[in-house]
Amino acid sequence: MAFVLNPATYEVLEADLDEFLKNSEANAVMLCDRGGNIIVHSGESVNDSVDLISALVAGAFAATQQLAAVLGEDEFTAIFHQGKQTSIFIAAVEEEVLLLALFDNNTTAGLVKMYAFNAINKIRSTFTDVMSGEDVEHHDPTASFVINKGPIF
Amino acid sequence: MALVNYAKKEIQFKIVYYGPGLCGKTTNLEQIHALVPAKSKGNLTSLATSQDRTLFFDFLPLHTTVFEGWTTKFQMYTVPGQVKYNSTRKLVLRNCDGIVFCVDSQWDKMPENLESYENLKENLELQNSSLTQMPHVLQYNKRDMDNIAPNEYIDYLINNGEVRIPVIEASAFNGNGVLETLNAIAKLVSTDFQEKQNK
Ligand SMILES: Nc1nc2c(ncn2[C@@H]2O[C@H](COP(=O)(O)OP(=O)(O)OP(=O)(O)O)[C@@H](O)[C@H]2O)c(=O)[nH]1
Ligand SMILES: [Mg+2]
Repeated sequence: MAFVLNPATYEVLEADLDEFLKNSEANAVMLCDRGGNIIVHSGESVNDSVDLISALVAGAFAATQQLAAVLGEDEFTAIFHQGKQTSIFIAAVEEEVLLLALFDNNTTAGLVKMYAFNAINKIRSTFTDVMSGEDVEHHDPTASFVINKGPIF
Repeated sequence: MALVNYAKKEIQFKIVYYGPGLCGKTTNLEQIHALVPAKSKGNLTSLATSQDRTLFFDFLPLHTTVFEGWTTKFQMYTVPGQVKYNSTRKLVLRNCDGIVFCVDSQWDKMPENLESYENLKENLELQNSSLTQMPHVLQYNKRDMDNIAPNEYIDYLINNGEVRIPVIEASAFNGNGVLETLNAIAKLVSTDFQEKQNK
């Protein structure tokens, strides 16, 4: 199964994330899947480590869900990691997708959380379409995938 | 689950190295990190115990061009091989696009190889997948050691289905067979993706 983002969907998601950044004054925000793949990223490039951050966050979030299960909770919908300078907020958008926001002392956890949940509500409906494959047919039909010759690495 | 971004012309795949404890999964990623040119790799991150056993996973992002006009990212992971870490293995396996099953070729490791292989099938089933749907290769590792089983015996134990799974002999420890394995799985995953997209 492939997860396909066409340019139109990508623009919508990016606009939602940009708006979230503007309102919340967070430094960076990403959507990633629960397997740790980055889907969309907006804001600072965070030491070129966005791939790693999304891999670690997916792991941390999944570990937290196991904790929730042990405690008899359905799921912890959101978690915070609080640092001296930088903090991170992670929340589930839907079954397969997480939102994570990195922020510093220019804003507050409460503000980030509030705007994040606003953004998540918008983003969720977009993903419902992507996941059901409803917008896949709109992707560029001229695009083809030709494998280059020779070893890949 | 491959991720295709038409706006950025980017494709992402997740590849997982699976296998019993101490078979050499982490060593593979360390060697890949050493062997792949700087422009194609990020940092290798290992979440390990103080004894260098993988606790959560190792992670190495690679990027290259497989398809004309598209950036292709391969997100490389290893699972922790120790039996007790099964919940972590399930997690790392989530949404993966290709698997390298790393076999420890030593005679006395055969029961562990088999157990791990069965465990892989179970965990795939739990995420509604299976080896028949999942591109995968076998790496017979530690071929430099003395007490190893012949390839034919390992084939007989593990590679005994109707379709022969590609096998790469390796000595990950000194880099032999490591890039061959990487290229084999990257090619399989790419071809599998291509077939599904262009149909
Ligand atoms: N002789 C020899 N030793 C190897 C080879 N590959 C790995 N090793 C050694 O085997 C030991 C375990 O290797 P790791 O790569 O840490 O094993 P792992 O599969 O990641 O183990 P877990 O993280 O516990 O699942 C290390 O001491 C390696 O140096 C090989 O090809 N030959
Ligand atoms: Mg390891």
